[in-house]
Amino acid sequence: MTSTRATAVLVPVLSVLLSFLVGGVIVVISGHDPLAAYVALLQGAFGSVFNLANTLTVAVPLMLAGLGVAFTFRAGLFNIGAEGQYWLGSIAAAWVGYAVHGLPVWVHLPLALLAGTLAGALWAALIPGVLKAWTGAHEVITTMMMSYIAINLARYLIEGGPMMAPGYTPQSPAVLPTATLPALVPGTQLSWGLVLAVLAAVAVWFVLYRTTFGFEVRAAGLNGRAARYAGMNVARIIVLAMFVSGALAGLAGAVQTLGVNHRLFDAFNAGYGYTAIVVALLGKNNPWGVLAAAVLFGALNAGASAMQMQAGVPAHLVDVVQGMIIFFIAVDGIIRSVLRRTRKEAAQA
Amino acid sequence: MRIKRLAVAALLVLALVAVAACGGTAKNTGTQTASESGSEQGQGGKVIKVGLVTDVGGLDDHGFNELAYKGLQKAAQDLGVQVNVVQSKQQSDYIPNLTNFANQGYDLVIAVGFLMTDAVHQVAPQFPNTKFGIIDVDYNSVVTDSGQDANADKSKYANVAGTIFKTEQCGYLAGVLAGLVEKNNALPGLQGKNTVGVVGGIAIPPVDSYIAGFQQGVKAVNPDAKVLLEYANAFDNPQGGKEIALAEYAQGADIVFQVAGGTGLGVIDAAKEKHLYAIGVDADQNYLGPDNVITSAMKGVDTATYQLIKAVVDGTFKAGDFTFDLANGGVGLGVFAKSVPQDIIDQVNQAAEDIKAGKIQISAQVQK
Amino acid sequence: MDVVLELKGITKRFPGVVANDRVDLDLRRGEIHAVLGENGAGKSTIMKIVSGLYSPDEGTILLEGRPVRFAGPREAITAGIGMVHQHFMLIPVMTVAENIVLGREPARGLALDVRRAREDVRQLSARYGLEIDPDRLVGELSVGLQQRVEILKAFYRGANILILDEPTAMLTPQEARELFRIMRELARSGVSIFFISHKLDEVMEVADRVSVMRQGRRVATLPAAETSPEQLAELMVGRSVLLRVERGEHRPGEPVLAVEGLGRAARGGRAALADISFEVRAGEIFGLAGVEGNGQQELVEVLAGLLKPDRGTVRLGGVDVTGRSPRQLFEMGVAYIPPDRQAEGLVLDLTVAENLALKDYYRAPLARRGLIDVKRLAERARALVVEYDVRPANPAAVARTLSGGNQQKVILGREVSSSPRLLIAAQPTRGLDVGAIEFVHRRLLALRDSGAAVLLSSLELDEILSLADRIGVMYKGRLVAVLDADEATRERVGLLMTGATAAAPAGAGTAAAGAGAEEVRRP
Repeated sequence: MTSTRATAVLVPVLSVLLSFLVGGVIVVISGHDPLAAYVALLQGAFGSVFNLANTLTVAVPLMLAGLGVAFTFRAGLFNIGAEGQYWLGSIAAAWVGYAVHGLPVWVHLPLALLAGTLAGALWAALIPGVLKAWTGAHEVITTMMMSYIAINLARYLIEGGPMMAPGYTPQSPAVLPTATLPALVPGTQLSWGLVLAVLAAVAVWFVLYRTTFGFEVRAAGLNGRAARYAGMNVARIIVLAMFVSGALAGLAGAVQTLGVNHRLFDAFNAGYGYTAIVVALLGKNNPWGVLAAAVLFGALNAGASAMQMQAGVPAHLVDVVQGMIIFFIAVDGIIRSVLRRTRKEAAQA
Repeated sequence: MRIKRLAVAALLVLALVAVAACGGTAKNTGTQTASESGSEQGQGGKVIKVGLVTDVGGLDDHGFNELAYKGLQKAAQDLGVQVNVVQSKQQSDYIPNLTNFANQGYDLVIAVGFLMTDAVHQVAPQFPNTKFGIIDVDYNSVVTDSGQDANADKSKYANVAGTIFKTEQCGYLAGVLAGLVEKNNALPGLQGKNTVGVVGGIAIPPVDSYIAGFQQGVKAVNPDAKVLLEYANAFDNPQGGKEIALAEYAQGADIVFQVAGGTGLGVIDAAKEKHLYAIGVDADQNYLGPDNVITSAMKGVDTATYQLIKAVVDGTFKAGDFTFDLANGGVGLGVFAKSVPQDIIDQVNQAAEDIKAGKIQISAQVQK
Repeated sequence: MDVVLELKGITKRFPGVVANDRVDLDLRRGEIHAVLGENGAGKSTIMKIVSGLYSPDEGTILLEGRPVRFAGPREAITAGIGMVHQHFMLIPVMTVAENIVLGREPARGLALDVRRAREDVRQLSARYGLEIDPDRLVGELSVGLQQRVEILKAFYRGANILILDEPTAMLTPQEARELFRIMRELARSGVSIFFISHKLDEVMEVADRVSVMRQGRRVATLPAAETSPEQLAELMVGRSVLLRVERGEHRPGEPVLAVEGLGRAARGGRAALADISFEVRAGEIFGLAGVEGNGQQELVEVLAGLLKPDRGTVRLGGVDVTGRSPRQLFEMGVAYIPPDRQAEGLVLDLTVAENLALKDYYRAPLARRGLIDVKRLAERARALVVEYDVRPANPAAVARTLSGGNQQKVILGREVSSSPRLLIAAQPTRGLDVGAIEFVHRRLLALRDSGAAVLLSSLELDEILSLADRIGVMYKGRLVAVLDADEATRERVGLLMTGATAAAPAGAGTAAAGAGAEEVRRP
């Protein structure tokens, strides 16, 4: 019992440490000082309130979208289209944020957040969810396709489309102050979205472990056949799980739009929705694990600049470390088997 | 149990790293304070620190970022400034990256490209003692956040300089070159219809100023020539650019001027395919097709970067716009294809001298 | 008879358990030596030591009197010890011959000498009387024939000692009988066989000697002829076990389940059902017998709401419930024990407590307005694990960590504790050891005696004969006969199962239950 729980934590931690180790070797090969690089990285990520705020700023959309992806993983679904749901949420939140006038902040802001959440939810549930539930169409394909549609829709809207702001920059008008998520730490980009993300994690935990719906999600995710035999309506569970997942990814987009970007603009290379998949995997689909993994990725991102400025290591090394993390998660079977072996040896010794 | 030992080992490693991190922080704060107090003493004798923040294109974009970095390195060599560069990986990095440099007491922070307008607009007022320069964006756009914040207080932006490129001037020279080639039938394989073409990215001022200059340059030397113009409405659609160029070649154009960023790469492709000619834009693109790209209308981002730094070194930096034109080498033409006759090159150079001398006035308005 | 293999004081420890504790065992030439024990008694471990998969912590292995030590299965097979695992290690897309020679291929240059491989296999199968077509693809073979390929593989590698690990687990009764015939022939020709099993009747049928293992120790070795199933069961379990649970008097009440003209076309890999009609009454166990794949499982799943019938009606207490969902049927008092407890009955990675709540998690007292009362759920689970003797009695244990018998007790506890009017039990004792089987049987009878209707579908004819008050026999999707227990002999039911209805007197009407002994022949 305790040993399985220890493994559950130890495996991702070892994955991360191993990737840092490999990253360090690469730093050495590229002729830099790995210790200096990592010191700079850590300091750039956590060294000051400002740096910590930067880390958390990147972590927030990863937390929310990661929770969304984790939720479908729990339901045995592979929603890899969080990116598209994120953009739909961004579009809806931006539009409500700038186009709806004359509302007080306590109506406008929740409305914009809700619009983003709902847009992401419907984007995931209506087509991929319903198709999976009724025809068995694989959600990997459908969510992926829906992602492309969403990204290109967002692109069209701001590149000469109806949401483009006056001028020639491909971006929407800025959201009104009444729809802006205020900064949590003044002078930084960290908004109250962090609080929303932590609340979302608590909510996901509560839904999974304290509600009948969460029970159904976990049962169906682990053994859909047994869930059906036990009388659960698996089609309904699929659609609802996709809805929840899309809602979280959509909220991620809304929070990013209303709290950080303040408008819809071409930021498609950020790919939070894709990184969220890794975050969910690294976090072992556990709400707290997802929060921790998102902070790690936020720290890697925020620390990368510092590593570049102070140790002269190219920021792309961080991509290498991230890639390594993904690699070691993918092969966590190896880490598991190593753990098993050392444990067996320990037992025999 | 072994597993516990492993867990303890993992924790130990983490703890060590954390300790190292704290040590690093302390040390670094020290140097930071020193440099801050240094900058308060003024710039005399003090090494000036310049930070460059790229946009998401990264340093190896074969465009603005790479050119800006070139200017930065030149400044480091010639002017003895201390330089540093950070590449933004995503949009939300702009503000932290600019802020980080400012926090560390850099004297000048340079932002590359119009995507960073909003970030400079937000960060600059918070660091009145740091100077900010932005490449290819005018001062007013920074102050008003591209017109969104019309009531912005200009006095908060006394530390910001914009850079404006008179690209209608180099566009004009490209036009003169194209017009003369047509008139004199000076290159092999021309179709003889006295027609040239333009493929624009999106009809926005930085694009149109090139095109306007080109139109006027052609007409100045070859009044009967026809100038085709089509916009691709995208900067990232090489296939679309190629199709438009092919259509223009089919209508008799021999030379197509691309002012379309990534879309324009398709134009150069089309020129090579049809064994006809193209003119590059922004950077020297002759290398993309040494026989087909007869020259390039260039924006001197490297020069602009260098000049911004030099202004800080010289103490001449002030709020407002730095304007780059032929006279100060901020715009110009790139390498000519070998087949371009010397007498035409001479005439183009003459036109350049006339512009510098103020004998030729060029409008930035496109004739549609 | 001389001893070919002798194990002396073999001890093997795993973290937390002693899997084998000073085990002595000997195998004589040409003998079938059964190793009998409940799941987890250590019989598989000792055989893995013999076949080189594990190395013993203590003790010695003597082969033909000489001590040996195997570093791996390869060394064991070189020494003449071949093991046939419960789950075959064959490559379905390759032919029989290719599978057999794999790893020791006769080569011509770098290429496989196909002709020689085929010839070798043909000779081998002739020598041991194991008929098989060397050119068939393994994927096309029945389970019984695949097992034959595994045995031939062992002989091809020079085995003269054969270890069969639960060889009948995957076989039909006919295939099992054929295997026993082969085993006896092999033994006659001098092959020595260790036969691992937990089924008493098999052991009694085929073994020369029986060693019984319990909790890692060998508790007895007896000549099969001098023992009885009762004695073996007692040795296995450590207490006296009733192999035949006493069934009380049959006092049927009102019909609970009434099936009328049920039909379903074959599709999606599922067998067809044709014109099935019968009743199950309160206070009786209705046994459904048949050879696997004759529609029993499809019938059961239609009744559990998992498959939709094309024709016919299902009534529950007089109400037409045809086509209702599993949830609706559950709410009307239908409980269902599916045949595959790991894939269908349990969510293995949830806890015992959660599995116990898998059906009624959504309603009071476990939940209210969508919120689960975690405390109640745990409390009820604590009571149930005690009542149904689930070991360990820890509701927070993950179901996967339980033994098969205890997993089945969890399912049984969940289904029976819902106080059903009708319990549908599909192969409820499959793969269980005698102690667990006895437990399940007692519970089924207790439920019957409390007035519920029980529909028991089983491939074990003995189980049906000992528990059922009435027996329906399925053949090719039809209910070919319904017999009262007192007239259902093993022979008669067995004959009906193979479709030999022509010999039986033709009945006229329908197979409506309650009409007593009635064998129905249909066109």
